[in-house]
Order: sequence, then structure tokens, then C-alpha cells
Amino acid sequence: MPVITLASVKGGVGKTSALLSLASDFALSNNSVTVLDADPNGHAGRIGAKMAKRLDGASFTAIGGITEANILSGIKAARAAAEYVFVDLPGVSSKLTLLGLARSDLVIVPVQASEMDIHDALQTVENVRQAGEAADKVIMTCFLLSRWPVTIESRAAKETRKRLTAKAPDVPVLQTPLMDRTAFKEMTFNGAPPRLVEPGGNAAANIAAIRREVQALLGAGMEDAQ
Amino acid sequence: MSKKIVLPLDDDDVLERRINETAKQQGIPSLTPAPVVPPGQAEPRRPIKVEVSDMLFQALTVAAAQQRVTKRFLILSALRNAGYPVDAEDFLEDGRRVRGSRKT
Repeated sequence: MPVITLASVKGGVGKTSALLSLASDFALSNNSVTVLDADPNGHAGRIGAKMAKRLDGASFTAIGGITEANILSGIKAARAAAEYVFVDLPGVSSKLTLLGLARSDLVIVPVQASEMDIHDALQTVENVRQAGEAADKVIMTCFLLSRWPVTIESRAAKETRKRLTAKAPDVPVLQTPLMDRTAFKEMTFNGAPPRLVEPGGNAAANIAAIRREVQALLGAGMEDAQ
Repeated sequence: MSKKIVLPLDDDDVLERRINETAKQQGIPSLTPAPVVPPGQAEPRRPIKVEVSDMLFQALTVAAAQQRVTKRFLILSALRNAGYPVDAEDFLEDGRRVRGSRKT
């Protein structure tokens, strides 16, 4: 069962928001999902617990308190229990980060439109490479443009796309950015994902498009591995 | 870089060992705090007294004042840089205030 990890050595890039939006969309698409929160801040575990109550009927579990001591066993247990495992890693380069990356099938690196985000996203890709080397595998990685301007793509946003492609040509940038929408922010207060609040809304369509891209990547990755 | 040993890949212990090695080589920290050793269980410590020339004593006094550290700190740093096993705990002050920290 695929392990999808949201990682960035920079904090505040929208990692947890993207993870919870995506994980809930997988769960609402009739998949069993387990979220493992390895970020010491504990946001994914805390908000994920609220989300589990909201998603009554869907198979969605959020587990917090993942540390260096239990991340490998935690991922192993979650893989056995769920169709998709989502891991939220600390927003810093650490041994815990490397352990989580090493057991991932796909690493999604959120990047906001800023030079600092690009710099740290590239460092995250380097951590993925190091973890892959330790695990003797190539770990699939992609960038997710995060908190992207809704109305018009700014110069900074265009430059971010351009630099990511130039500096990490082997790492695809997901076509669909995670837009800067209120629904994703409200989700952090009430645990209700956009698809539950407004199924036909823009935020729900946004995250569904990202989910389809992620599924396509995972499908292609599985074919490559065979 | 040390030669990699090919071992079963689904073994968590092997992966953890490799990640530990990578983290150490790359200077990537652990987020798990090191266990605190209670004072009673700490390794026994012994005093050492060395007589030095007046010139060296003065040089150490000036450097310590400029860097706002103790002479002990300078000597331990030099020993660590020379490859002797000096732990971070050895640098802990003995309770006296840091130079220049007194409120005026």
C-alpha cells in the first residue's frame, strides 16, 4: 500500500494543510487512509482526529506521536491496515525526516512562491536522495505549488515554477497547484475538508485534481518498479 | 565514505543503521533529546592542575576576556580540537556567572 509523504525542510509551506486535504479526498473516494503525524508540532494528528469524526463513514484514521523510535514500525503497521498511508514529517532536516522519507513511495514537496521555499525544497530533494540511497531505492518525488494565487499568477509565482524546473529537472511539478483558498484554512479549525463542506466548490475541485495527479504518478511509479 | 554492506532491505534495523550513518556523515541532527544523566550517575570527574608561564597565563586571560569565556573553556576547546574526548557537558560552567553578564 503506497506511502505518500509530505515533506519540506522549511516550516510553514502548507505541508499539513495539503496532507489533510489530500488524505481526506482519498478517504472520501472510498479508500482506507491512515495519517501518521511525525511532526513534533502535532497539527496533523490533532486536526486529523477532528477530521476523522467529520468523515464518519469513511475509513480515515489519524495517529500522532510518531517519533524516531516508532516511525518504521508505525509505517509498517499502517501499510498493513490501510490502502493509502500519509506521513507528515517535521519541517526540518532530521534523522526522523530521513527515516520517513526512506519508507515512502512518493514524496510531495510543497513550495510557495518564494526564493526561500525553492532553496529549501531543493534541500528536501537532496534529503530524499540520501534516504533513497540508504534504502537502496529511488524514491519518487514531486513538487506541489502551495498557497498559490487564485486570481492571477504573480511574477514570483511564475519565477518559482521556472526555477524549480531549471534546478530540479528530474522532479516533476504537479500541474495543479494547491490554491490559496479559504476552505483549506477553515478546514484547520473544524476538521471539515472542502469536499464535505461544498462538494461542488472550487476548493473541492482543486484537491480532487491534485489527487488524480498523485494517483497517476503512483500508477506510473508502480509500473516502473515492475 | 564507508563501503555499503548489502543486507535484506525490508529489515527496519538495517535501514535505521544506514540512516544513522547517513545522518552522522551529513551532520543531520536527531530530534530526540539525549537522555539527561542524573548528577549522581555522571562519570566521576577529577581535577587537574597545570603550571604555565606568566606569558601563557596572560595570553589566556586576554583571550578569555575578549571572548567572554573562562580560561577553562579555552583549554578544553584546545584539547577537543587536538582530538581528545571532551564532551559538551565538560564545557558547562560550574555555577559562576558568565563574564560580563552582571546587570548594571
